[in-house]
Amino acid sequence: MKKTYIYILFGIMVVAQIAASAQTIFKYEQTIASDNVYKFRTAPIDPSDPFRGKYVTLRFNISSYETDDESLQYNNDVYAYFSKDENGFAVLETLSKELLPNSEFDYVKVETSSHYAGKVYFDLPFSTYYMEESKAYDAERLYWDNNRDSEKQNAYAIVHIKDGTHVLTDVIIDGKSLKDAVEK
Amino acid sequence: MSSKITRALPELVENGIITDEIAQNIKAYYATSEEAGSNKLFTIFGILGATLVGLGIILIMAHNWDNFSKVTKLVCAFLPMILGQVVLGYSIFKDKSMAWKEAATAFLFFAVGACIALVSQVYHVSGDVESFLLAWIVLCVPLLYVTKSKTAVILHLIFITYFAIEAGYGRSTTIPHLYFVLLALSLPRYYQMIQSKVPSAVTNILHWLFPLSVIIALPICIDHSEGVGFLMYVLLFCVFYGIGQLPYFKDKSLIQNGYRFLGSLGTIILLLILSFKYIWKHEFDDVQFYSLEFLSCVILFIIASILLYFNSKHQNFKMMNLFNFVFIVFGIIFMIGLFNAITATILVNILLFILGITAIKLGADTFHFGILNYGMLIIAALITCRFFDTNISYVMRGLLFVLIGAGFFATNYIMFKKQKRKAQKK
Repeated sequence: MKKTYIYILFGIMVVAQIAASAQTIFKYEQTIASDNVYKFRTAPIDPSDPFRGKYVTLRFNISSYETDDESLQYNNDVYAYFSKDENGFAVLETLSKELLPNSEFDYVKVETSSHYAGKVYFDLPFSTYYMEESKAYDAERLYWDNNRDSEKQNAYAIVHIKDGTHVLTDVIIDGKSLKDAVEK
Repeated sequence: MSSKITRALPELVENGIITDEIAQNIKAYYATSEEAGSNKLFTIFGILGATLVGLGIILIMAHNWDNFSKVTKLVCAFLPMILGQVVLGYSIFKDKSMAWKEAATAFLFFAVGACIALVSQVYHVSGDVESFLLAWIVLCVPLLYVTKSKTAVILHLIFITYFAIEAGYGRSTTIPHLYFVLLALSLPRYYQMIQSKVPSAVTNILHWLFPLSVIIALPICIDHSEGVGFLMYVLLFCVFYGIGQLPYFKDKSLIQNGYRFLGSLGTIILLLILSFKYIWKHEFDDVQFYSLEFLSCVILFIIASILLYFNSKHQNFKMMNLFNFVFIVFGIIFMIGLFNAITATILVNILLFILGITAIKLGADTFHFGILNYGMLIIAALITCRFFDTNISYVMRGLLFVLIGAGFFATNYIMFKKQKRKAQKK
């Protein structure tokens, strides 16, 4: 290959490698800066990823929507629209196959997992909360200990949402950040 | 070896066996080859070092340092990648040695992965491993061509195979068939390496890695019609056997020819599985002709036919054997099997038996003990398999095994004698 082509290819590669991660950072920072915060009630569990380390998987209370629309089955991409209650907790308003123009609510794209007994089930896409490897297991234990008394349970995820982009920034258990609650 | 020869040189000169000039030439030859050897060693250790450092960085980052601020974490994500880019850029622009380029390539490859991993960690992105791998591989594709790095090809192959495993086995969030696009992107570089006049151990390793990668990744083409998967794999192994017989591989040993080895062994193993009546009766209920599986089979059949035509044109027809035609014969048996399981089972058994005999004959003709015993093994495996689904008495089975064992001894002994006689004649 000619030297000039090698230089051009190398230049494109360097720019692409930096831009790929930089645009991710830019997109999420814009969403965080919008300060549009939702709280999602959750239950954490603790798996791990070979490259990104230990994380806590969150299961959300919002996981289904009542509908008669039989066309929504397994593996469909749909939009979940949310409003906030007086305490800032997310309330599912509707589930739509298409983007709703002029909607006053914020949305995230979700994938349906099943349609059963008049309800469409789906997974919210911000279910991964990365933690320091020594803390992930304790975080899960803390949640389950806390959860024995269902009245006492008070865990939720803080999610910034703007124009369909969402960033999970914290998980709170009993008024404390999960990171601080399991501080060693 | 070289030091042994150079030590013996003064004695040879003293006794007048070689002249002083020849002795000097021999010394000079070994001095340059030793230098090349130490360069190679330096390159290998450079690559190993860079790979270990790169992997180490990924693991350190995977710890998720809570004490670091977001900005510190992001700087830590970009720093190794930019360092890798600078070192690689420097080695390209200053035209440094291959050791530099190889080590910088390996380091940058892992640094790119570490950067993507840490950024998605900081923002708790719920992406799965396959989409993460895809982004990583695509961003590192130019590494295949910016230097003539062999490490880049090996890493690319390993990681696209990993991607295929993640994307192809089970529910997928990406398009698993992108594997073939990524594989195709590395083919021009592979071709360049094959065309290179300098023989390289890495090229021989790639003759194994490429077919192994495709064998592992092929299930991404299996969607609904799993039965067609058997036909697909037989055709794939036949394609590999055809590639292994191309003129390029003519003077290569079996250990340097992964295509031929895997093609032949894979065909036999699959045919052994298909020699059971049970498989034909129960595995082919879901065969669909309008499916991705069947389209893949058609493509593989066309490639195998082109290879057969090319090989028959470029080499002596006597060199061709039944292994070259298995894809046609099995294609017919497969179609028969869809309607009549018993006939297909019998035909596969006959085919395997003839393949065993073919290998024995091939081994005997070329005085190759390995191929001869491979043929014997095929027949032995076939008979062993038949014991599982036929009602033959124990005495009969025992006698058959004794006969096979005796056959092994006899054929090897006859060939050994034949070889000895031939050597004596010379």
